[in-house]
Parts: sequence; C-alpha cells; structure tokens
Amino acid sequence: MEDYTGLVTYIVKAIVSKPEAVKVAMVEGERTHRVELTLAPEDVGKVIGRGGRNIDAIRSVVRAAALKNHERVMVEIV
Amino acid sequence: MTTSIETSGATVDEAIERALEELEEARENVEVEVLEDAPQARVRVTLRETYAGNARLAVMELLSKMGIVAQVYVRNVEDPVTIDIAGQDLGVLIGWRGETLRSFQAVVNLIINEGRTDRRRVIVDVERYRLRREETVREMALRLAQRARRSGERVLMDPMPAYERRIVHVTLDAEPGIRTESQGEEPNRRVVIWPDAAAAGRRPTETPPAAAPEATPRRSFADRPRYGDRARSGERVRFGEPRPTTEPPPADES
Repeated sequence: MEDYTGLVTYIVKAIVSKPEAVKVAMVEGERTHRVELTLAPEDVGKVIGRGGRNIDAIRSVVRAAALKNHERVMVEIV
Repeated sequence: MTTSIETSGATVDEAIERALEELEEARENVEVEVLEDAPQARVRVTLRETYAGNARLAVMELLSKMGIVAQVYVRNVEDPVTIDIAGQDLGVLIGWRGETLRSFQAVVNLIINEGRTDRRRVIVDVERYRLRREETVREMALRLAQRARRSGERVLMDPMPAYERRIVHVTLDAEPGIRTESQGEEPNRRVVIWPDAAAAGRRPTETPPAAAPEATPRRSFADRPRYGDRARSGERVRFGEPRPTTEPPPADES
C-alpha cells in the first residue's frame, strides 16, 4: 500500500493558516483506504472551500495518485 | 520558498553549469554568487523567486508526492503563467475530459496563491492536452452549428464539463443563424444549438414550428452523424431519417 499522507499533508499545510495544527492519519482498508484530516477549526472552511470546491480538487488529485496503484482513497476531515 | 545550492567546478562557468543542471533551470532565472574563484571554483546559485518559478516548484513537489515521474517546464512566464508537464503515462493526471487536470491546476493555484495579495491564475497543461482539446471543441461546435443552420433542427452536443461548454458558447456567440444554450443536470449537462428560425420570435417553451417547407430531405452528406456528435445512449438518428424534435426546455446559460 502506498502512503498518501505525504501528498495530503503537503497540500493542506500549504493552504492553512495554522500548519502546526494539521494532523493527517491513514486508516488502511483492503482496497480502500481512508485519510483522516485534523485541522484547526478556523482552517476547516478554507480547506473545504466554497461549495466544497477545494476539498473536491484535493480528493481528485489524491484519487489520481491512488489510481496508479489500483487503490481507492477517501479523504475526510474529522 | 527559496532554493539555493552550492556547487564547485574547475572554472566558475563549469560550477554554474553544474548547478543549473541540478536545478533544471535556465541561467536567467538564477542569482549567482561566486564563493571561491581559484584553484577550485565554488558558487552559490539561488533560484530567483518568480511566480512561474514558484508554480513550477509546487507542481514538481505535487507530482513527486503523487508518485508521477515527469518533466516540468515553464511555457509562459507571464499572462498567463503556464506550466507544462511532459512525460509518459500521464493519462491518469488528465482524467476524463481533463477533469483531473483541472483539479490538479486548482490545487496548484491554492498552494501558490495562499497568503498572497498579488493572486494570479496559473495554467497547468499536460503535453498541450488543454490546447488540443480546446481546438477540438471549437471545431466540433462550428461544424454542428453549420448543421443546425442547414437542417433547421436543433443539434445536441455531447455532455461536457462547464469550461468546455463555455468554449462552445463563446465560439458560437458571433455565429449567425443559431443560438446556444445549456440544458440538463451535471454531469450530463450539454449544449444545444438551436437554429435561429426556431429561436426567433418564439419562446423556447412553445411548440416547435411546423415542419420546414421543403419536405424533401435536402440533407447534405456533410451533415451525417459523426463520432462525438451526441451521447451514444438514448436517441439515435440514422442518416437520411428525420430527427426527433423534442420540446425545448427553458433557456438558461451554463
């Protein structure tokens, strides 16, 4: 299984106001993995974006990275 | 995001050359500081911080973290800053009709514009996919507009993402004899090209006009259905048969 936390961490830390509060954990599944994202409360809106635009773009990029390895990754803000 | 490396060589030029190779940068994008001249030349080469340079670094970082091997070039330094990605097997980065590439570009823009007041849009392209696709969409739009004009019947285009529908609307805006609108729900929203005869002086919700005076099919071979003209499921029109005329929906722009 590939590690997708590095990719998610890089993107999210670059766009939040409190990078030190960013925590990224990966929950492994058989084929589908989950990346759980913890953020400072004031950064949640920024990462989600208007109408979910930003988080959708992030998910799409992560999906592309996972597709190469025939895996699925869900990115969730917890 | 300053990148700086130190290299050495027999001469200053050689040291600089080595540094440029390592940074994959052109001479005009770096600042050179000579640390030692002889007997061994040592230089510190610093990447000049430019918008395009930052964008390129962000793209390289993202690709490497995605596990994608590719070369990254700056195609356009200004207006608009354009980054080109080249390599093998980049289909996964493009995605269906470029949707993944658009997301990738959105992420790049998020990263490099964070906390900046001088926000600029950066365009990310893969092997000129974007240029080629835009050209294809434009050609298809013009061809189908021609068909709508000649046949006097509406033409449905394939479902397309919003930015491609926009290209169609803009391309056909100045075209006489037709008008365009988007209909349907994402992701099946598509452009419909209406001939003006049907559009002029008539609300789109009214019944379609009576059959055109010339009852004989005056259809040209150039108007035959072609690949990409419509979704492959649903209605199907064979060459020479009349097209089904359906009630037009209320007009609205995409």
